[in-house]
Amino acid sequence: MGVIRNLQKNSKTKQSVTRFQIVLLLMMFVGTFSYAQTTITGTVTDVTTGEGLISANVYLKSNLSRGTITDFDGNYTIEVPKDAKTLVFSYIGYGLKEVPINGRTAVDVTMSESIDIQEVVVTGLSISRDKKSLGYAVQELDGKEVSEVKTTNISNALAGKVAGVFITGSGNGPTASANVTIRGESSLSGKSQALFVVNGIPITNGLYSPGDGLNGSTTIDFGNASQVINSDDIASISILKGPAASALYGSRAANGVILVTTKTGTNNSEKGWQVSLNSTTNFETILKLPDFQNEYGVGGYGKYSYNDGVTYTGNNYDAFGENWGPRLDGTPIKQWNSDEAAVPFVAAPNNIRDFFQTGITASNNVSIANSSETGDFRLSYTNLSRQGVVPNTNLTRNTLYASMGQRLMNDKLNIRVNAMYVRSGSDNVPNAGYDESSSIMYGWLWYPRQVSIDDMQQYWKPGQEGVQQRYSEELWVNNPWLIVNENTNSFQENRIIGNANISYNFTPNFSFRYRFGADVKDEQRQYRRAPSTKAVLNGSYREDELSFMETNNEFLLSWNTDRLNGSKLQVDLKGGANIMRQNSNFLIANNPQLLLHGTDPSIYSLTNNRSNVLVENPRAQKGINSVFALATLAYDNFLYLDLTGRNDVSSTLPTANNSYFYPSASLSAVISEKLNLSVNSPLSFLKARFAYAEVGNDTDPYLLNNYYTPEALFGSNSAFGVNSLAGNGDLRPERTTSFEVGADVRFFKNRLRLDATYYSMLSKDQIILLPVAATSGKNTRLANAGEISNKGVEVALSATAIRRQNGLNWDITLNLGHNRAIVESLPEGVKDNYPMVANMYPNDGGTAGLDLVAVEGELLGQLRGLTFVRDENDNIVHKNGLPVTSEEKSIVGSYQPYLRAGVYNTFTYRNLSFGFLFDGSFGGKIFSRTHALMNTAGGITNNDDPNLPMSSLDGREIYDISYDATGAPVYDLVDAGGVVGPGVDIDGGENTTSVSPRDYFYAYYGNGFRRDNIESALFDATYVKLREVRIAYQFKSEALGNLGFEGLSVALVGRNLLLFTDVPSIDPETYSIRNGRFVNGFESTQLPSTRNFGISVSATF
Amino acid sequence: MRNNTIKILSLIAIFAFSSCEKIEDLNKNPNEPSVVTASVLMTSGMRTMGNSSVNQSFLLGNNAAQLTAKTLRTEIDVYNWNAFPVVWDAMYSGLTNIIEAERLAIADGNEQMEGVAIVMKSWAFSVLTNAYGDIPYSEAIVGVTTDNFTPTYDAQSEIYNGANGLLAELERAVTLLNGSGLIEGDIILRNNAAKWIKFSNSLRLRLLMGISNKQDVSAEIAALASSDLLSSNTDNVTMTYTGSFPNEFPLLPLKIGDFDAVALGTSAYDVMTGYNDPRLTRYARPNDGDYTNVMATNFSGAINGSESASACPKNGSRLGVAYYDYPNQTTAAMLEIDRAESIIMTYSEVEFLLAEAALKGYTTGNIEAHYKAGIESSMTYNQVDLAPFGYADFEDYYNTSGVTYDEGIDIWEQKWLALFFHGLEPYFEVRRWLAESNNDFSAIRFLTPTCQNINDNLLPVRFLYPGEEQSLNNQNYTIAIDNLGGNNSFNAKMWLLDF
Repeated sequence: MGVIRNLQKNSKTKQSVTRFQIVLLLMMFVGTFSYAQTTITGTVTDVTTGEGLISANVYLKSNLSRGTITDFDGNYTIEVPKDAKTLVFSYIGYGLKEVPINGRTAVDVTMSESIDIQEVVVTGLSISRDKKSLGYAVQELDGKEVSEVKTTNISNALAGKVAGVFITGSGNGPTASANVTIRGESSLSGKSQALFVVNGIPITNGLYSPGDGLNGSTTIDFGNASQVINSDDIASISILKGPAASALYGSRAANGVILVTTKTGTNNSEKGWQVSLNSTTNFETILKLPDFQNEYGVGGYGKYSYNDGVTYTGNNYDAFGENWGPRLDGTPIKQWNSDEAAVPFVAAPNNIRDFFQTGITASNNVSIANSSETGDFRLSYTNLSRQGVVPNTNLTRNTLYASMGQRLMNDKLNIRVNAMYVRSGSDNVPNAGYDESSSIMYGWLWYPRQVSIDDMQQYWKPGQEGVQQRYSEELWVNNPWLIVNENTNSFQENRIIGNANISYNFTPNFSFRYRFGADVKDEQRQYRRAPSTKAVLNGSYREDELSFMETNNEFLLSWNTDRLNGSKLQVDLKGGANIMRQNSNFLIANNPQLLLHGTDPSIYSLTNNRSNVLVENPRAQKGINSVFALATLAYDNFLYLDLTGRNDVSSTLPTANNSYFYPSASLSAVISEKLNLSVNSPLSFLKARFAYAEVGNDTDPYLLNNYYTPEALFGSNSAFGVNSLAGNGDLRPERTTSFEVGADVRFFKNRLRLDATYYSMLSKDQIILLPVAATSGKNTRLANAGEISNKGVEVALSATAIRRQNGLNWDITLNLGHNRAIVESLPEGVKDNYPMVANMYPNDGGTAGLDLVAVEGELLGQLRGLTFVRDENDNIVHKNGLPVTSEEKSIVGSYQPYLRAGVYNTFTYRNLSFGFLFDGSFGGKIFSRTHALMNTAGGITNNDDPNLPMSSLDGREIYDISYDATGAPVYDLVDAGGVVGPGVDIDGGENTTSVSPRDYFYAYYGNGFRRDNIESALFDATYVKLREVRIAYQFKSEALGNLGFEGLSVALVGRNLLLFTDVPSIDPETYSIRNGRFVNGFESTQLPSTRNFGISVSATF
Repeated sequence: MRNNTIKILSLIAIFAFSSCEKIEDLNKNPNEPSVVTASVLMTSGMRTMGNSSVNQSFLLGNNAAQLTAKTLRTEIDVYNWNAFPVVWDAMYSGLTNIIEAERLAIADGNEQMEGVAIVMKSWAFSVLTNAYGDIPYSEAIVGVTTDNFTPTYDAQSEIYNGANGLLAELERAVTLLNGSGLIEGDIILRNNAAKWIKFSNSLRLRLLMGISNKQDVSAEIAALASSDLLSSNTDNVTMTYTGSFPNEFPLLPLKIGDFDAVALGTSAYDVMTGYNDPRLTRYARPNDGDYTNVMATNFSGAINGSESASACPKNGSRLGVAYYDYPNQTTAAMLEIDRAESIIMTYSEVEFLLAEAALKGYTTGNIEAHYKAGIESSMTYNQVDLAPFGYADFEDYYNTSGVTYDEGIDIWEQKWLALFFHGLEPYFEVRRWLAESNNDFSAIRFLTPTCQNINDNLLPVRFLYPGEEQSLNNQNYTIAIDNLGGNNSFNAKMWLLDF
């Protein structure tokens, strides 16, 4: 059934592909222009073997961005202006070669392996730099690496591919966020996300979840904002890892920068016009679900939940919405939906798995690009439509992207405009977490093992459609179909990211650049909760309107010394200023109780209310004015020194402290230049680098003073409360200092490459909220306090294991990132217990509170909660046969993994390439509330639990069930059951007391009034994933010529195909979201992660 | 050429940097004021504490006093109390706004408003000190106006008897309430100074009775008995909900399962069925939903105690229609009665206090007259329907049901029943009565030790200080713990129980 449904959906996708193709063809026929261009063709070959060099770079010296690469046979074609004079050829390991054109149209070149390396990377301020001159760590990814894999959130495509970058995805629906940190977390307040910069302009990457918890909801993951960047439009991604690389983007860059450069018309310069088409279809299935048991159904202590088989009436307290009931052995039992008839009690083994469907993502991109002598443009349109694994969840995204460049006044004036318009929307974003009103995962905790999911499809009670839901037991949970079909969370977003860039070269040595960038976001969200929803009995409707704008005005003056051959010292000086402004305006209107109109379907609007509509309207403004300068000194192609300085003035700090300066210095020494290496030397390149940097940081607006917070009216009475935050008029900027040292070593003609970095960062004077005693009238006060150090090692080791021209090539890359974030100091009073996130599950009144805390001298991000009471030999202490939970909370370990590693293998054989990536995270702890609660509810076997060697199927109470003359159930005890927990008795000796397994599991997981024993479901979060498998075939251009194609490639891509972990029930790659921050180490009823398979076709004309 | 360039650059510079505003101006908060009136703070503080009072009844007070019983998560009933912070946090949060309102009222010279703030805060502090013992009192809420975030704890004896203690403050409040000014933002007694005077006196009466085992309170109680006290149900100190979210009875949004985690207790069931008490259909729902069938068998009581399969059955009737709406079942509107309010103090309680005062010889009042008025006003307040129970009127009920006054314990029994949903007051009273009875449950005929409790049949006598106090106010917390005998124990006797 599910399969058929999905096939139909799929065929719809195919139809839309066809429509694109028609559009494309039309464009092709229209698009024939001519201009003063000349075409040069040729072959690049190895001087010794005579074989063609694949993927050698060929570009025009007068315009390095005009370039192409050679094909599999070493052939190239490049369009150049008629007056072009010199071509430049480069090939990794072969160095650089400049060849005058001299009016030729055929230029063949031979190249020899050399130790001269020239790789250009994009760095801060969008300045392209020769990589060897950089004194800090930068790693670059080709746009292809993200576009072929086509994750909806581009961050996920980076996982495992860059050393030191820690990416945690989740399964939370089509819009799921990704938690991206570079070199670890460095903040007590959760501000550790890497900064995204698109074409030189920072863009906002917030979570935007205002007003958590209204109408019973936990935070719904509408996605972090950077995910709108469309992978088809990405030319390259540079990751600047430390603050040294990024001091010039200001405060926000302290956590590293992900620099995205988008494609322009110059990326396709083989001929004037190029049209390309990319189409990807992805299928998504569940990767991991808990190991559900199918031997016992709903009830408690072996008895069915409802004595009379119908609905609980309050006469007898038998409300066990749990699977501790009778055997699923076919015994006739009066059930909730059997009209008081006794029908066989049997398992519905795949009820939860069957609820999920195959998700489909179709992404289609068409672009046309053109370049001429004086200008270029690229126009691209992408349509992404995604349907999640949770029924009735989806995402659509349309991206229109344009880039136009023009060179005027003899190339002295350059103008470029990039504009990206993204329209995204969803009819329903699934919620996860411990949330009864809209999380299906919450419902699965208690879902009866005997109820088929199809039996629930009719989710309204007959005759009460739209008013009263129908569900399998009245007490605890919602019908999952009601949640996905009625309790929807939808959104529509418009986002414009644009920039204009004007540069003028006064002389070859002196230039000016002005840039303006704007990131404008406008989003509406609607949250519907149907009447009869648990905790929202009257139904509710809420609308959010979120608008956000950031603008950056920036100018830059550059001067450099003459590039004369033989001049040993080269100097580059740049200076500029930036004005940044942020404006946000949120409007949250909440109709907490719908007015019901009999059994008519509910009207979800703000005006259809039987209460006041509650409105919140938080607005915020922030500005930073900056001046900055950068000096680069190069000596003899050997030593490179970079010096930077920036001074920020932030609106958020007190006037006395709002101006702060921070410098950086980095040095690169290309030692191999001075070693006079022979061609046969095993060492082919050696570079050492050192960097020191400081970054200052400000805070959020309006934190300096004390305010009163508006509250809902009481009748006609206005209400304001003293704001529980004590402001601080003496705040100072935060400081991060960092030091890094690294080496880039290459051996055997560059076939073995090692890039290693050691870094040490210290963030101090952090602006944090310190908790204070509630008896003081405040809950928190703002202060400069706390020091966190991050120390770590990044290693990128890559090798070309096999290299044969026209034969098999095998590249292998290993990326390792090791980081330890340690809390060096905390203020008095909270040294042992600074709550980074207090109480992870505020919606659960029964919880004793699980916290993420900082402890002086320990790893950042410690998990804290109630634990087992243990004897001196670490055995769990039992009382009356039940494990004893501690009175006081303890710290049980940090979420931090000690190693993140990825191994990427690529094989190419002529036109066929095959790659696979294993990616793993080693160490760190995770608490799985899904596992704990599913176990207390008797729903899973617990056979895969490394902590508790007890199956939930052991020792259950077993009754024979019949009905007496009045129809009341008669229970005859067959087996009293009982389990004996491993451990000792409180009075000494081994625990020998047998207890009911339900009681045991309840006590073990600390359920009840003091829910959550953190130790019981704490696991080593280590996992390894087969993250990516990719097979691509590039059709030969000769074969395609007749068909009108210039290039055609097909790729099969699989993601998250295999998961290896000891964590039961869940995929440990997950996080929770609380108060707008990502919290690693805690999992609570998250949606299952998914496995993806896809096919990607790209064609150019 | 060069000129053009300069023109272009100047234009850009003007365009880009001409709109520079003063950067500090960006940090003016457009969302929250830094000045407000006392009235809006008063509304906020009253709502917070009013809501808290309902939750205190539902989760703690009613269950600890065995009026109701937990059917799930029975830690309160089995005397396995932990450091739940709900009472502490909510009351200090409400106090923050009340004390800030008091400060503004003083600045405004508004004596009546100041008086209201003093009565409200005295009530809140009395709940806190009765629950915990020593608490931050004189320095509480200092963090709003100073940089002191670690208020000292005051000894309970000082909180009651000190120069600025509760008893003195309530007396001062009456003077202020007779003074100048205007009450605004009062969502409890609707800006009525006369009612606040009655409440102030009545609260003083309650507090004096609470410490009557510690010191001679006879003169003060005698004086109060002839002062203005709550004298009818219209004087009741309750917060009436508006019925619209978020100003509705706090239990209404609960899941059915969470609401059903509390059921009518066996102790209350036994007493009410024993007297054929018409409040039965108000405190609980008939098990079959039939309000004309008031047979005892149509109701049931859950036994307070351990949550296990059979030893302590939990088959209690659900709580009454005023407290919750069930789908497809009778509602308060259908019975034409009001939804529940948040109760801070009622006239009925005052009558029982006066009955006890007369019984103990503090006054010369008529014990039975006060006792009877206490029962009658409780019945009226609960909008009982006497007819299904076979009574013509209250006199008929009083004379025939068996509740007629006989001995002192009758006062406690009827007061206990009347204190249903009166915050923590039923627990405080049961605790006092047990203390006066040498902690012997058998001396209090309507109570029993709870089923399979873990505290040797001893009702815990205080709440544990919340864990945050230990880390955030350690120095002062340590002194408080030392004064308690070195242990944050629920069996440690606070000053007023130490007799």
